[in-house]
Amino acid sequence: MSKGLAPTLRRPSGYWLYLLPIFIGFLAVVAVPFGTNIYFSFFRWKGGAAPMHWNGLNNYSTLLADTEFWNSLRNSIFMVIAIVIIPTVIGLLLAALLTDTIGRRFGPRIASFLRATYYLPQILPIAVAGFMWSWILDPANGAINTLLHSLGMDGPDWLGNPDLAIYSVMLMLIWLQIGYPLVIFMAALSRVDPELYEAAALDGAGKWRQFVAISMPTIRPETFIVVLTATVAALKVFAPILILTGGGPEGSTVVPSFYAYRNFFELSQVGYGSAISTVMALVIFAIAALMLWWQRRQEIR
Amino acid sequence: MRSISRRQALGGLGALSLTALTLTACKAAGGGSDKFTILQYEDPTTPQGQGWQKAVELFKAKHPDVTVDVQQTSFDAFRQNAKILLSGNTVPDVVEFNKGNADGGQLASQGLLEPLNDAVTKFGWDKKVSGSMAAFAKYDEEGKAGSGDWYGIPNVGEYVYFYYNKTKFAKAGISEIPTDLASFEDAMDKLQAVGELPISSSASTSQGFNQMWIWYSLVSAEASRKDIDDFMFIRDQVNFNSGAWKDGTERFQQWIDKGYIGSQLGGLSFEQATVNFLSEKAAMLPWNNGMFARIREDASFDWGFFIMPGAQLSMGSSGHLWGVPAKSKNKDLAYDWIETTLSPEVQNLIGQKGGLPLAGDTETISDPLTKELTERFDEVVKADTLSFYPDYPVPGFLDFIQNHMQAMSNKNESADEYLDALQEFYDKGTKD
Repeated sequence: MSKGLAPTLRRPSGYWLYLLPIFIGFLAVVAVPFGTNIYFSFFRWKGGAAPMHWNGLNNYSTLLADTEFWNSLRNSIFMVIAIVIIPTVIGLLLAALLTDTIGRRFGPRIASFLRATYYLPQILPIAVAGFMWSWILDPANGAINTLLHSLGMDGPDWLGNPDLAIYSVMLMLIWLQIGYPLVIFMAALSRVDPELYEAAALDGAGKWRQFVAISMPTIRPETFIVVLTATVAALKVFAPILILTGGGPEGSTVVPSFYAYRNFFELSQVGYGSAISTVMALVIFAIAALMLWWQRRQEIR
Repeated sequence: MRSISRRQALGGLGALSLTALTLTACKAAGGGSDKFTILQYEDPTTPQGQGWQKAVELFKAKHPDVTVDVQQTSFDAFRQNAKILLSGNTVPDVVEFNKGNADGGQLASQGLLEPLNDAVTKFGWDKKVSGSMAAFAKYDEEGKAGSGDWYGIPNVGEYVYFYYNKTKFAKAGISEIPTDLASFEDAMDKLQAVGELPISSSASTSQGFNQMWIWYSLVSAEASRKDIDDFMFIRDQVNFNSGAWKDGTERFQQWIDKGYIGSQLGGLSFEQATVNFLSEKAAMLPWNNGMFARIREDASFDWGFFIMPGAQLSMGSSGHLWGVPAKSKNKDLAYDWIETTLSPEVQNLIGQKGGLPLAGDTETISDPLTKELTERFDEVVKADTLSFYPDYPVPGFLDFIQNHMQAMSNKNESADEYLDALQEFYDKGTKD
């Protein structure tokens, strides 16, 4: 017995060799830069060859009292709504509609064509999408306000009004994001055995009932992945803010990653920017860990 | 507080991060004595870019044994990476850098750029680049512009003025270009009376610079040389709640209230403001000579240009600068490169293209409109009446001013509130 087990026990030690490249890669690309970032966050430093001044935990205590940082964190909630909640719900409904109704009635080619059109914003470079939307939302000549004008209404200043800008940014993000859950959900739905729907239909279940009782539970693992990855993306959203609003108007669309960037590059406060990045990385780790833990518990049940 | 050097700091971070930094530096830089590396960010289609291509030809002819490597980067990329790049061991031999205390000043004070005093004397660059054109070429030990050693040499200048639609002016019965601020406002009233928007502007924090330029042009209009120099070079205490600062800002608020600059500007970028002017939605566009070729190409109407009427000073400055990294291995070649870009052949070519050369002969420009543009510029340089750009003195100023321009444009902030915030930010920023 012990002789038989010995080779299998020895085998894993050989596996470590194969894991080495990943380990080195992780060290070089994630662990060391992250460690460096934490290290810098304890200094007052303008960057480059400027002298570094030890600052202890002062950057962190300043951060706790920094209303602009808390404001940026609050804006992250809007980002979660725009990148996770709304697109996931819409993506789920659209996926069901395309797979079930459109796919069956008009054939799978039409369904795949529509899926591709929804996915198009995802493959568009973010800079192109951003400039496109800044034109769509242009108060004087933009598509939306021109439409409103033709209906006899005066359109608002979508990106220039501090009470409105965050919703305008959300609008673009929703448009950008929908294709992602849609594609994943459609692939997941193709796994469902059609006989299950037929059986349910025979038992008198309507479309909605079939969707809730069969489709949704089947694609639960994919839903979890979509929610997890989109949540992480929402917490670190950066480029759309840079291109659409630059954090304005009047600071109303600043998000943590943009705030860190501004401290790094505009204000030359590298230590403070590092502190913001460190805190955000920890927040993202914590949320992702919590979600993974919750998912595990669901699986065990 | 304990200070440690960057080298000591990096020592503790392990070989990997050092390798990463070195790799970054190597990738963007050249090196070696037989290879001469120029790192710059001008678009090759601009007048300056075309001039520099000519300079490369001349330089190669002068130094046939040297391999010239011209590397193209972007303004933002260089701004953000300059400190890391220039502190590496392999650096370009000559670089283009941005003016101002937040950029050139920091690079100079951190010992990353070579002082150019000897070369300036040897080549006589101070004869070609003087007065306000030389102001941001010199930095003191703290990195403040206006005095100290030479660290950079500009080739061209720039200034801000109004492009105007002649048809719309005629429609409003304005037969002559206004000569002072009062007659300028009268003209704008006349434009409004015939249903025309006087000025196309923008105030988005993402590239909406027109409002900032109008505001600072109005301050400059009433400011003295001393007012601006105190502010720009952090000399005497600046009281923003008085004189030209207060008057100019209040006038700016009046312009917003009177609707001279339109409404809903918070979401607009300068590109959108330009298109609005070109599509004849407004009578004027405030911008600098960087838009000259574009307006000329795209405007389907008769147009002209004029500096802010009756202004004592007007916005503008030298262009970006050539600098020699402290670790450059070919410093003598770098000086010769700078000398080549200031040669009559290169400067006159830049002038022909409308690039406002600093050492060109305006008489050699054949196109009348380009000649007029250059003559106006020569006049303001000669009179020493350029007031530079408002975001130079303090790091982070651009962001700060832009945010307040939005607030004022949205009527969420008064002139007084802006001036109070400006005082606080400037005082704090100039103390550090």
